[in-house]
Parts: sequence; C-alpha cells; structure tokens
Amino acid sequence: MELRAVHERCSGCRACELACALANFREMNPAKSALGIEGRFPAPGDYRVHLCDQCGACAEACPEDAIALQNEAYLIDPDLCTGCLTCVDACPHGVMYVHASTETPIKCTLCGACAEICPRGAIVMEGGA
Amino acid sequence: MRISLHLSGGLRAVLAHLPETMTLHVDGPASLRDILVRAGINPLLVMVVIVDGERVDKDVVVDQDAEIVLVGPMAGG
Amino acid sequence: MLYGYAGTILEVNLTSGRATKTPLPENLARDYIGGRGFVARLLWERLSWGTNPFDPENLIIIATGPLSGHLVPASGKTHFGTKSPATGGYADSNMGGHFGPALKYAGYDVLLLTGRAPRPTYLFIEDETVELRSAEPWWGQGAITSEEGLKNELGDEFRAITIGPAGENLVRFACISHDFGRQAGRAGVGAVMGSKNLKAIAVKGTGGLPVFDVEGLFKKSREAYEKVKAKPGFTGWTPEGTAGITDWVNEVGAFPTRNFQTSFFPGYKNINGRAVVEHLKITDKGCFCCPTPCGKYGKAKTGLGEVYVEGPEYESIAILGGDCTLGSIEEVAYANYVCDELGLDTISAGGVAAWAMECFEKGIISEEQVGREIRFGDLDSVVYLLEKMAAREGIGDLLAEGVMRASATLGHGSEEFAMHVKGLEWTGYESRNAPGMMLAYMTADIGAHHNRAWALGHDVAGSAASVHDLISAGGSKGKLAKATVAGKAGRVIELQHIRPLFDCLGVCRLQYMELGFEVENYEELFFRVTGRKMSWDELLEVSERVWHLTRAFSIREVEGFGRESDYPPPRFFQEPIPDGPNEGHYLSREELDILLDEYYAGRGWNKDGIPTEETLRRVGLCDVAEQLAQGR
Repeated sequence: MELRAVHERCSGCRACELACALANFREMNPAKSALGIEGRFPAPGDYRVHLCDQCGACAEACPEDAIALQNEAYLIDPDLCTGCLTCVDACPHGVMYVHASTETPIKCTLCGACAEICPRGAIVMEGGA
Repeated sequence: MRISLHLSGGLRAVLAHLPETMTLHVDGPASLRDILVRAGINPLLVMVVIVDGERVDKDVVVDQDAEIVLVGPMAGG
Repeated sequence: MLYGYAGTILEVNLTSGRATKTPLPENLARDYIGGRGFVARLLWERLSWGTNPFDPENLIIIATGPLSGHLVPASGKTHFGTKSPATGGYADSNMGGHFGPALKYAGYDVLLLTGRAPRPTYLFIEDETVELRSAEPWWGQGAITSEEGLKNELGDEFRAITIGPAGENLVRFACISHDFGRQAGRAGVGAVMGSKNLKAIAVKGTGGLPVFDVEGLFKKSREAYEKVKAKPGFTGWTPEGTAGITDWVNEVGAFPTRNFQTSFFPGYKNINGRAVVEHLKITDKGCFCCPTPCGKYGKAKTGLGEVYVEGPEYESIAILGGDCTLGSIEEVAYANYVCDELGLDTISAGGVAAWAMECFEKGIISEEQVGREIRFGDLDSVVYLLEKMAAREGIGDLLAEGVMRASATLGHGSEEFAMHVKGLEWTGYESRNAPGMMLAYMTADIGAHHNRAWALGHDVAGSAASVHDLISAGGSKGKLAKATVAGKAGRVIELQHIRPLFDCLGVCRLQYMELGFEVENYEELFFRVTGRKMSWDELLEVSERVWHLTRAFSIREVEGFGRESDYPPPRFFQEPIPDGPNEGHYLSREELDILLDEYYAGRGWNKDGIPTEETLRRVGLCDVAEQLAQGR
C-alpha cells in the first residue's frame, strides 16, 4: 500500500490535514497532521501535496532505533523516542512534524484517512485491500 | 432512445409537481431543448445540463440513450 | 463549556496598542450562534450611536462561527462587520478562504478592533502572542503584493488579510483581500480598515478545537463528504464555478449591460464559464474544507499585460463584463486583477466605472474633467478609472465616493442612473422583470445586494412562457411574459433567513443551495460539534432575529432611514428594458409599493419600514425595542 499525490487535483482545502489529525489523535487540529498542503501563489497558481512515501530515511537517522517498519509503514515508538528531532531534519520531504503538545514527532501512519476524505481525488491509496 | 432526466433540488423547487427522475422514450436524434419541452420542462428554467458528468449546451443534439442531470436556477457569486 | 467554539473574544485597541482577551459569553453564543450573528449583536452593543464610519471609534468585527475550522463541508467562512462608509448603516461582508479557521486555532472566535493606529500597522497573531507591528514596508502596495510579502516574511503557514491602496485612501467601497483571490468585498469594510491605519492581519494557530462528540462527528463528516460527492450536480458544477450561470442569466434577460441600460449582452458567450475554462483556468481553487472549489485561478493575457488572478466570478463577469461591456474573458479577468491588487470591490468599482462612462457619453462630465476620453467596452478606460478611484486622484476623488454621493454632487440627471440602493452599488441581476429579486435588492440590509435572498429562479418560473406556448412558437429562445408582482414577499423573507444563517454557522451555503445538500446534515453536524440540539427551524429563528437587528441598526444610525431608503434607482421604475428577452418590461413605482407593502406586512414592520415594538419583542430584541423608543 502507498499514498500517491495527484497534485493537479488539489484545491487547497486541507480536509486531509483535519482527517489525519482526527484519525491519529482524535483532535480537531490540522497542526497535528502528518501531511502538508502547499499553495504556490501568485505563481504558478497551484497546490502541492506533501506526503510521506515511507522511504525510511527517518528510521535510518534515528539514534534510538525508535522508528521501525510495521505493515508497510514506518512508525515511531513513543516509549523509545527521546524527542531529539534528528528524524525531522533527515526527512527528505519535510513531512515529519513537531507540535508543542507532544515530544514525539508526528509522522504518517498510512491509515488512509486523507485519501478517504479528499473530495477531489488528489490523494490516492494504492495497492492493498 | 431512452432518456433519463434527473432533476436537481433547485429545479424541483420551481417545478414542484415533477418527480426527481423522469424517463422518456424519444424517436431519433433530438436537441436537448426539444427533449425538455417534451418532458414539460421549460428550458429557461434549466440552468445547467450535465451528460456523463460533463456540462453541455442546451442546443446539443442527443442521438443515443442518455442519463441527463438538470440543474435549476441558482445564484452566482 | 462551549463546544465548537475557541471560547475567546480578542479585542485590540489600535490607538493604545492594548490587546484584551475575554471569554466568549455563553448567552451570545446561545442567542446569536456566531459569524454574522456576533457581528450584528456586537455592533449594536459596542458601537456608540452616531459614530462616523472613518472615526477611530468605529469598530471592525471579524467573527467565525461554531462550525468554522471543523471537518465540515466548506467551513472556512469568516464574517466581517462595521458601520458602512458607503451607506452609513449596517455593513457586513462574508469571506471564504482560510483566515477564520486560523483565528480559531489560535484561540479566538471573534476579533474586535477599535481605535486607530498612529502609523501603518499590521496585527500579528500567533496563538497567544498578539502584537502590533510596523506595516511601513507594505503601505502603498497592492493587496496581493502585500500578502505575498507578509507570507514570505512570516512563513507560508500564516493566513493573512490585507487592504490595498483603495482601503488606505478610504475609497468608500474598498475591500479586504485574502489568499490571493478571496475578498470581504462589499460595503466598504476595507476603507474602515484603512481609516485605522491597519494594513493587514496575519494569523497562525496551532491549537485544536473542542468537539462535543469527536467519534460521532468524524463519522458524520466522512458521510457528509460522500453525500456531497454523490449529488447529481457535483461533477458538472465545479469546473466552471459561478461563472457557469452567465449563459442562463442572459437567456432570461437579467444580465446587467451598459450601466443597467439593458439586460442582455449579445457577446455573453465570450465571457461565460466555458470561456473561463478554455482561456484562463489553471486550478480549481477552494476554501477551507470545501468539496466544490468555486475559485477559478488562472492567467489572463491582454494588450495591457499578463496577470495571474482568481476569477472572474459571476458577479465580476456581470459588472466588469456586461455592465462595462468588456468583451473578452481575458479583459474581464484583467480588470478583476486590477481591482484585486488595488483592493476595490469588483462589483461597486465596476458599477462606478459604468456610471462614469454613461455620464461621459451623455456629456455630463467632460474629457477635461476625466483626464481623457472613456468608453464602454474599452479595457484601457476601465483600468484608468479603477486606478484613479483607488488613488482618489483627479476624477477618482469623486468616483471614490460611490455612485450615490458622486451623482448627488454631479447632478445633471446623473442620479437617475446611479445604480444603487442606500449607497451600495447594484450587483449582477437586472431585475426590471424579476419582482422578487427587485424586492430582495431593495430590502437587503447592506444596500443593493443579491446574496441575502436570491429569488430570481422563482421570478423566472413565473414569467417564462408556458410549455405549450413554447411548442407552438417553435422553441424557447423567445421573450418572457411580465412576471407577477403580488405574492413575492413571502419567498424573499424566507430566503433572507435561510441564506444568512450560513453566515452565522461559519460555513458556505453553496453545497445546500446549488447541490441540494440537505439541512438535516447541518443539524446533525451542528449537534456533534457543539452538543446543542437545534432544529433547522430553531436556527432560522436566530437568523430572523439578526435580520430585524440589522434593520434596527440602520434605523439608529442613518438619519431618516425607512421606506424611502428601500427604493431602487429611477432607471428601474421609469425606463422599460429596450431589448432582449425582457424587452418592454419594468416595474412602476406603484408596483414597487405593492412589493414593499406586502413585505413590510410580512415582516411585522409599519408602513414606513420600521419594525414595530411588538415584532422586536417577538424575536427577542426587547432591549433594542426600548433603546430605539428612547432614541439611545
């Protein structure tokens, strides 16, 4: 399974960010989402969807071995995480997020809530059941 | 041709006596305007016509079975 | 506990620089819900009677609703209110985009601004940090350019609202801009911001919102988006957005053309929704959490240059296209961009330009007064006038006053075709054969505005020829019969409660109005978010209360406000439409009186259009009734 962005379909609504935070934290707070929508205005006048592609760079960088592959997604073990934020710098896509309410960075769990809510087909979950 | 017309809420607000879906059997090619008149719908009340998910002009000629969505008058912005 | 709300009113005194945070009163939330309700109530309570719109004491109230910022279709709406520099009465304007949600995540439902900053200033809000910072680098710059500059400096996650030179120069119809293409367009809210030396507000919020039933809401939200996607109009409506109604409005002879001289524009296919898609569009650009992005962001190339612009919306097509008769979508988009950068409401500015061009044609103003020749249909003329207005330079100083004041100053019969009600310029529906729509324009609280009660569909349903006539006449492209005048008030009143209710909730009304997304969905979403069980009818009662409150505000603030304030310009009751589908039609003064009499009776207002004490008490405005009676 993997999440794929169809950038030209994105209208910048950010429902995906809300759905992500609700699915993973049960909170109405897009600052706790694991993806980012970037508007490129005034030019070229479009949106880019920044998604985690489960590349594993975060896991490789983690000095505590707190990030491991589980069922196709790299997940952070909050008990092992020391909040050093090395993974955040290591992420090549800028989709490891920091929020004041939690020491552990926020990372995509491949739950698919974003793809499910997107009314535009701008995020698609491919492969898997 | 078997033509199914789906009337939007906005259209039924001004044509309350008509159902949400109407099916007509029409001989040969016919313009959308003619189909609407035959269904008892004044074309002036239909703002948008959608065939197969795409907007079409009311003067378009229909020459095969079609599912047509009719959207009634609505505001701009 | 006020679920759904952020729970705080942030008040900033721009004179002293002091920021005060107070808990959102529960009774305010209970009785006025949010958004427009908060604006109307806080203006009534907090604005001193008789304040001049450009005085430091005028307030700007920016209010979100309980559903703003939640995972609910189209929950990005923010409401702005003030005392209008255009009409002297109640002003509000609703804006899409992402600003309101950001305010709520920062912890604030309402932003209440008072005073005047000593120097060009912007308001910086990052969660609990509230600061007034220098806006000197951006003062004088365009609204779009300023937003770009602010976001480059602060970070893209900041959401910003800005004014352009028009707001800075107190053009009476200056707007507030946001997100490279959204506006709080009407009634001069941007001018009041300029009078406070407030160039911009930038907000970032990282907090969450309290939800009464998170599990239930998440489930219902996902259902809601599925339901919207399943609506028959879903795929067909979005690509053209509001521009897509242009063809129809022309077919039914309601399209503003040449300063409302007539109501059909032969070149309409060059400026319709298809033209937007084929010649301009890059992206379907939407507001927060919206499934049907109505924004058409694109690029327009004209002889005057190439610009990126969101739009044009239907209204801008109607006024810059039909009313000023610009003939191509690129030219309409270019003029739209100029308005956006300068911070001018496209509707009022376009209407003022059209009025000026008619004055010029009639020889009421000279080439010397204007500075050059100006002509309908000429992009160069329109852009010249817009630039002059925004700078209050030359003829622009007169035009910046709006058509009501400008025509009173100019005279020579120019008042006959100054197309406004109460001082606010007419919008995109020519209504000489649409009595319900005409009544809607006459009685809208902010002045001539379509958006409180869009009744045109019902007018056309009544006046369109019967199907039998169509068959015998061989088609449907003919003339329309005269629409019935009697019996229109009831529907207008209903719509005046339904449509503004969305402005109280903090969501867009488009999914309901254009796609038929049912009100039961909003009832349930409201309950899951707030924990309050309110039926749609109970919510409408709040909207009704707000309607009478905004009327009371204008009565209080505008000398002689009443029935005489509700009439349209003489063009509409003296001149039959000269051509097109509605050729020959108009509404006589007697017919306008029938409309008003029926309306006032339905509203519980007296024959002068003043709410009776009984009516005000019935809708829960006892204190307003008492104060109006006492005159303070």
